Amino acid sequence: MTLFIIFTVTFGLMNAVPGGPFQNEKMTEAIRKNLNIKYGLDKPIYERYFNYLGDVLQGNLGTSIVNNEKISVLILNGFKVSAQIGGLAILLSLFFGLIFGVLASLNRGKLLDNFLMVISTVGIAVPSFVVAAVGMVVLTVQFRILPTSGLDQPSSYILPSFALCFFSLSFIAKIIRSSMLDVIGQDYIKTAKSKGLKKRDIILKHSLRNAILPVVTYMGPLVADILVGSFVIERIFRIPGLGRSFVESISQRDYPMILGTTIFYGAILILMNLMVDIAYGFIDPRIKLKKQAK
Amino acid sequence: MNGQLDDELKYRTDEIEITETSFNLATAAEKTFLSFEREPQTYWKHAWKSLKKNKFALISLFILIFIILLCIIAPELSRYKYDEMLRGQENQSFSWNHWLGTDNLGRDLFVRIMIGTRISLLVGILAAGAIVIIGILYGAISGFIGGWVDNVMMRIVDIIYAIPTLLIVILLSVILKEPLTRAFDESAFLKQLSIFGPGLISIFIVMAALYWVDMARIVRGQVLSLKQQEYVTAARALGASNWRIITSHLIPNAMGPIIVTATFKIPTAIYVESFLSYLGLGVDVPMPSLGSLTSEALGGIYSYPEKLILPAVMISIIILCFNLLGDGLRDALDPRIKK
Repeated sequence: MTLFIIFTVTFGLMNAVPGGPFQNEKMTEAIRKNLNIKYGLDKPIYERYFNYLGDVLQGNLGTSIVNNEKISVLILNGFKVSAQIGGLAILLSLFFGLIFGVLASLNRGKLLDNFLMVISTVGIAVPSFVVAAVGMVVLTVQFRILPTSGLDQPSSYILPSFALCFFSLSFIAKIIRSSMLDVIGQDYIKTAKSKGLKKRDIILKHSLRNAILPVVTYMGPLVADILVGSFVIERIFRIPGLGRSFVESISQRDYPMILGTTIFYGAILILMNLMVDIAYGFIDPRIKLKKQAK
Repeated sequence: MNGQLDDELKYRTDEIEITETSFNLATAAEKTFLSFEREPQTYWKHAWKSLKKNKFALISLFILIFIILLCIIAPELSRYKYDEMLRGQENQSFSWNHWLGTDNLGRDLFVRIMIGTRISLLVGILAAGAIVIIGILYGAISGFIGGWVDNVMMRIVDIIYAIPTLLIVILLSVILKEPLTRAFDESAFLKQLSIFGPGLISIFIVMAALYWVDMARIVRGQVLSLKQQEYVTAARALGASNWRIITSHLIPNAMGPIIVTATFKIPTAIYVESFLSYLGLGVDVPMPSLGSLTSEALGGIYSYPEKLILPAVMISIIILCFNLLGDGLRDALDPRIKK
């Protein structure tokens, strides 16, 4: 349903733009007409809409106007690269976010807690392109530790994924800290302590499992944040990913490509939200999926 | 019936005999003992007091005021203009003439950063203002009318909420640019706006059109709980119109959460603006914005890294300060967290 709305809105917006992709002064009227016929742009708008809708349902996203390649191929190629960086960033932010959050909550009010909270407060405020740019200046320009751009060596993954995950890492650390503090005050933690359970078991099995729910809720927006972040990060580090080709296709007015990519992103986000809903059930048996459906 | 009641009263007064002498005037000592320990406070006085106690929020507030004053005053006093290219003075470093040096076209960077800050803050505050107005109206109407109207209005909010916002923001700001440029050329009234450039205006429209949903949800929630309160019933019994109940009873009482949300919307707007300008979709050259300044400096990153750091740090400070101020305001305005 949501996907359908995204599709319709994007399609409508695309067609609302004055000036097509073939606005080149050197082109004669005849060439433009032929090109319009080739890409079906001469047909009335509702016909194009339903044709395109049918194609998309069959998994055919059409061909790019700029370089005549299949869009599904372009998206897949770009996504392979983006998924590596994005996946790494998601893993990093979850892993370090959890560790930092738990550490901070266990050392509440102490130096470590304050230090971690200052870092994550700054991390939430600083835009990802600033992290990327500053990281680039310090690590690659001043000290020449890491390569600036491209993806030739394993070490060139470090900076982009770090810049991508910085915000979500800080955010996760903050929510884990506050929900851990909530949970630690509960009675069942006292029970567990008085039973003489090991501290590690209490933290992992009793506290963290209950404190992790807000993080699961954040998983959907997390993926969206990383996707959007990739537009900028891939441009800075010249990574041939989907984010960069999306931004390029916008400036080149490559309609089928923009539409295809938007639908693809929309599908990923909806899939992610679905997975989050299912994951709830596993983590917290109290939540039943049936009850959620109204 | 009446007689019975009188009997009962008589029976009671018989038991405890109350005459004028059974009341004593309170002595001065008793009065001070019974009086309240602190001055009665209004909601806003209390909020301001607890905000003053929050060091981070207060420092952020002062830094923000300083930055706002600086970016209003400094460019007017400077000898240079933001789009003035000085031949032979390209790519200078820090100096007495150009405090923060010049860029690759010989434009004074201090003035450009100040103007960029001005643009970013303006976008942030204006967008937050638009969000507040749309969100309050929508949320209040939806929550107040209730029933199926509320249902339909909230489903619309859900749909907008489900759409990945920044994706649509990028699409829209690309799309709006051209019609806006044409509209500026055609209409004399809109020409006044064209000093901002079509890019900036389209960002503004897009932000106002998509980011009000949070605000609408919060206002609706507040209105739903407030409209059950006795003073609303009292107002209705006195014959107040719906409009009057909404504007003078419900919205003022929901102001705390509204202000907090608005404070958090300003940095979001600034972030989106700098993000889009960074991608080249926002402000139009030669108008600088903190995002486009960072983007421009990326080309000379090897030779002049400091030109990239300065605007980048400026954005971060502004967003950080607004976030801290928002945190402080939330603690101060939320009566449930009163210590």
